[in-house]
Amino acid sequence: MENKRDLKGFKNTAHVISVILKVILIASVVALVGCIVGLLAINFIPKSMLQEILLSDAMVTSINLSGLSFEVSGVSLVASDIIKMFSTSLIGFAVVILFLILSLKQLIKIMTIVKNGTPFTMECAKSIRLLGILVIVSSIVVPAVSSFVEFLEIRMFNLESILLSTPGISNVTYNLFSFDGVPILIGFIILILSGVFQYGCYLQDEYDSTL
Amino acid sequence: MSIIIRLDRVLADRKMQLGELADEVGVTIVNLSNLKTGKVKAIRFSTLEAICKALKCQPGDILEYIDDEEED
Repeated sequence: MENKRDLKGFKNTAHVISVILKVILIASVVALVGCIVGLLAINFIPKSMLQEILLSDAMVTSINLSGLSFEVSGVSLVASDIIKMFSTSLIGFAVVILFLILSLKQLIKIMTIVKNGTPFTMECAKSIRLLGILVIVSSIVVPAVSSFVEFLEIRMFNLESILLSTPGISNVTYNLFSFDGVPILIGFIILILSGVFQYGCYLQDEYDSTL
Repeated sequence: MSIIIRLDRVLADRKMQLGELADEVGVTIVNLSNLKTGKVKAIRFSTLEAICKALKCQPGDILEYIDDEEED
């Protein structure tokens, strides 16, 4: 009786999580479409028009570099540089959203399977394995893309020269590829978990074919 | 498979339908049908006990071992 009640509660929780994930998925798809539209807009907008916007005093851009935030206004920037930076930023953002969408789809699939009360299926194990692979790949790709975008921003606003003009600072370098090992470890743990689920599928099959 | 289920023979001897046995044992007719056709991998002692009780027979009357090599 107690177990049945627990199972019902678990199914209800899975249902609530599934709904929340679906909402996040829809928001992510909208953001991805926004990225694509923005990418098209920035590449098709006339360069002269962009240059005019850049030269206007009202134009203030907020830049965020690994937590360091500052505002830029009235700087003479080349339109092609702006297009390049915005395009790279949008592509980077789109890559992050794409990984998020793929992960969310797998999570929703897992939650739906759990909600139906049959967690030990090959489909569920496959989704968990895919999720693990996605976590590992995204933990390498996403920091690399964001590092590259930040590198472009540093180059564009010539931040190195500002640092170098400060007395006592020399040998300014930028590490283009820096990633955290923790998400990779989490990814491997998820992969191990998928193996456990595969064994669970075998046990479930044995149980189901026992009378 | 080496273990053959002789449930249909015992049922015929007792002049009992599969549905009646399913009701007495407390399993679905589909599961009993699967057992009869050898589609199940294993049988619990409790299920075997219930079947033997319903059919008033011994486990050996339902299950029969045939050596595959000898059969060939």
